[in-house]
Amino acid sequence: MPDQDHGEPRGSAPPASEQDEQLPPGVIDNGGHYEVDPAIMTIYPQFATDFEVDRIVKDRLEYLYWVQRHFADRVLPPHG
Amino acid sequence: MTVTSPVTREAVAELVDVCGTGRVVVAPQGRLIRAMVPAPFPFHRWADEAPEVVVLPETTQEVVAIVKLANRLRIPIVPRAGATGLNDGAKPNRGGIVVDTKRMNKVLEIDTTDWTVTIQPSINMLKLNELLAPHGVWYPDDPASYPVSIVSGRIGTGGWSLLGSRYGHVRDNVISMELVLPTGEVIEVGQGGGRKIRHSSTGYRLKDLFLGHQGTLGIVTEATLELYPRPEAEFPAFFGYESFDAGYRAMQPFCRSNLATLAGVILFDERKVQYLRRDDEAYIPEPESLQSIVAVAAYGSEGEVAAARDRLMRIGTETGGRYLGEELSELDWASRHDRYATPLHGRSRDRAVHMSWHCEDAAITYSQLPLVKRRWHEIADRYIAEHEVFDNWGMFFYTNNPYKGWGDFLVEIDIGIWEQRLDEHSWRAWTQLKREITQVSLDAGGSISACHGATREGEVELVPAELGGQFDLMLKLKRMLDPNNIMNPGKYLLDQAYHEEVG
Amino acid sequence: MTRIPDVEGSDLVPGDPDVLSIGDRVAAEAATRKLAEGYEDRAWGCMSSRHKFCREPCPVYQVTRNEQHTSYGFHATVAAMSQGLVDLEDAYEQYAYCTQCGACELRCPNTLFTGDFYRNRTQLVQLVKAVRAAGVEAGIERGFWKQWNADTVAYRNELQGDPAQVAGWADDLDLPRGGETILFCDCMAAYRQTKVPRAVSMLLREAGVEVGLMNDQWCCGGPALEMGYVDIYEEFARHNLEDWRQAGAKRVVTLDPHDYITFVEEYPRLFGDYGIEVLHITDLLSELIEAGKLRLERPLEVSVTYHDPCRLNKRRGIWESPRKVLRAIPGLDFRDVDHVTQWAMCSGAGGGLPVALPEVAAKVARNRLDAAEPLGVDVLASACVWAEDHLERVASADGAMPVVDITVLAAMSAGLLDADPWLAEVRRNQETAP
Repeated sequence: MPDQDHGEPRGSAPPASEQDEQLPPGVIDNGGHYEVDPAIMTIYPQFATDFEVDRIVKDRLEYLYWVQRHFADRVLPPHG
Repeated sequence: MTVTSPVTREAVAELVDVCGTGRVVVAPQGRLIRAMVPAPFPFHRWADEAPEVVVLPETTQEVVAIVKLANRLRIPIVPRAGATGLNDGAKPNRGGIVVDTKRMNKVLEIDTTDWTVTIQPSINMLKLNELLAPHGVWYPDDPASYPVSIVSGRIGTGGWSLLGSRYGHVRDNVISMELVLPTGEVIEVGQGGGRKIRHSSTGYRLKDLFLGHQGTLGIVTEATLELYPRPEAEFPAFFGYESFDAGYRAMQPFCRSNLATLAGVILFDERKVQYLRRDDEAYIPEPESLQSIVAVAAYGSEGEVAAARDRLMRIGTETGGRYLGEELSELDWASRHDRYATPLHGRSRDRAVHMSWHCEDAAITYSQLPLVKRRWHEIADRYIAEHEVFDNWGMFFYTNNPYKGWGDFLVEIDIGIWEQRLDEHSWRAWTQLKREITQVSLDAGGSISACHGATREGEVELVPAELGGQFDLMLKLKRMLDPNNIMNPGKYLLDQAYHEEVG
Repeated sequence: MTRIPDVEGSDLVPGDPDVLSIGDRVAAEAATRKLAEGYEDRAWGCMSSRHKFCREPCPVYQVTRNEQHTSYGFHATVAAMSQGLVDLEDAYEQYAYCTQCGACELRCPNTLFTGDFYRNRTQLVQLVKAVRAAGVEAGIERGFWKQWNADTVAYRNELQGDPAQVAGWADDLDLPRGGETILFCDCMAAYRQTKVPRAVSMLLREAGVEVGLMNDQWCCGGPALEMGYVDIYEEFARHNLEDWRQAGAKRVVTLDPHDYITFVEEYPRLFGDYGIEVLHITDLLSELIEAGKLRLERPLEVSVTYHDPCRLNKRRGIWESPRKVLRAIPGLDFRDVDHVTQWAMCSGAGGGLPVALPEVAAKVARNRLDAAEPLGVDVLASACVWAEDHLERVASADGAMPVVDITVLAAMSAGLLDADPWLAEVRRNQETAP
């Protein structure tokens, strides 16, 4: 199947809801991208670069669209 | 009591005669990697668990030769397909020969008239479906391991599919098989004798014996599978609820909707939602009031799925659910295979650590779900308080009944285990934890395992209690089919079949 | 060091028959220990999941169907080394079974689903390089790569070409030496697939982009590093960087992904930020076409599918620009296979695989060609001269479809290369194809 244009990437985290200013424990907001709080990564290292992080976000989205196409011709929206 | 022998020089020479040096593996790393499956593994005694030799056959005749050799020399053999199962079916308990069947992966026939595909069965389902797609058909077996798991292993474990309420599970979609029995005979089992017959009343229904036998009754070398038309449409929807009770109650109208295209209904408990908030960007910004989720998915022709979609959205509203949005619904559903075993989700005393994932999977009726949930969490939390190597990743409840959404559910508690720090003391605690959880399932009138199998220490001791007279019959059948106890010995307490005169 | 006991009769099963010769067996305990310590946590990061999602996308596993030849297989062996159950000597050969295509570490859910969140992801390519390097350092490397890299040192390129002729492909093109933008030509392109650098030079000249050649181009050093020859790599890298500095380079344009990835990933690890921009030709051409500086106007009425080079698609996420170039060619019937499906594909040419295990590498190529066949296309196009050369050789054995670089197609469509002989060859191939 050929590559398809999915428009703007939707992978980035949306802003937190108004009711909930606080993020869950162990999570920080790194410029709109949720990441683990480095304070809890005391045993295993962190080493992925910004380039890798951006790539992973894009690749994940592309992969999920691929999964959709693999299983069905169309995904229906919630309202007809 | 049967005696098993170590692998001898003679045995290795014979295996080389059968498969050639390129397909006989004695290298230590080749044996060590085939000691385990994803189920928690005692790495602290890894060397003790390794098989002695591995062989990679390519044909039924080679499998027959290997099985006959094993019988003659009294060497245990363990069939290994994908080794992505969550019980210990493919784990060798007594060294011996691992028969790694993954080179037997050819597609033999795609029948677009009678809608079957016949395969050498050690092919991955995703790959199989890529080959079937140009014909507009697919084989609808969708476990969490779909991108990597293998048909013959699914047969050995009697697997469950995320889409089972619509398409059935493995035992509904394997039409017939060719098997090498533990004594080396080759037989075909199906619905009667016609390879492509789905339903017959000729003779006994023996096929079921070999769906979920965990490799103890033979090695499947060929399989004919059911085909369905490729879905025109998919509709996934996630609904949020403010308590587990609300989610649990909401589940029932979804399950009873009896929509033909409804593939599954999944309930997430509050601990699972909490766990997902650790890293899943879809859940992180969700408010604290989101405590439980019911997820549904439908597949089929566009008109049917559109109608199902309208009904499901209405049920969501009527049950007080909050639709979590198109993006979360679509992408979380598409993530269903990848969201299980990610190690760094582990939390040990507020530190992120690599944990392996163990999924305890009982079959429990709807009425018993809240009780089992409460008791399982109480057990898990008690062990976690004492041992830093365990973590509680919450629970899922999935529709289990083939083609129907009601009745019984695959109940899963996900326990993380920090295997790098496991020792014999914590391993013992682990098996004790499992035993407690297993007892709860039996007390609730359930089954120890909905789909993984029950061969592991901690649960297998309770199999006779669950099965009663069925276990006695299992012993007789095992003794009859495998007189020398060489086919995956030591699983399911089946050694008991050889303790005295049986049958 | 305790090892898992050998099974009786293990001498009946020799090491891989494709291994050409075995180096002196030297005790490798120190090397094993150092490797295991350095990579133990990473090995556990993999072994903790055991979901094995890396397996089916692996092009080598697709050929051998042997679990040892997968990312989790490679990680398991390191975990076993950390427990003293396996020596580097036992394990070294296993790590030959890898093209370093990057499919596994990309597809692994520990990367794809949480690698960004934890900034901790699966890194199989680095692991394989480290094991191979440990083998070289311990003196237990096998003969298959030793000779290859010794020849590369002697000739300064991987093709055993005359070093004085490294720019011979450009003799009649009047390209200057030095300048702000250097065109790095790649060994395979310089000595064998010379149509490609010629096409690239002509396209850039046509678009008004001035490029110069190096004073003395040596192999980028990337393949040496992939095979574990760190000292050779470093020598080559220092030479090339010095040459660029002497040239006054601000920018290097690569035309092969193996060079590109070496310059953008490995050179910074060695030199830090060395202050030279590296741009790959597909990105550059796509920009020039979009800006109207390059017009592709001659129609090429052939059907084509595109093979994503691993070091562009999987390793660097470059999959759009080559497709933009192809779509700019009028008359082309482009039957695409999406770049995610191509995560599971590879030509088999990378990572020293054709040198160590030529039969396995040929089967990987055969799988790639077989995947293209049902599309019914006239031509397989790609953007990697090493992949093209390897695929071509395997394809020609049974008259399968011709292989071509997209820059050559672009140059023909720009009227810079005469398309007629090539089109005639394609037609001839259609007539004789099985």
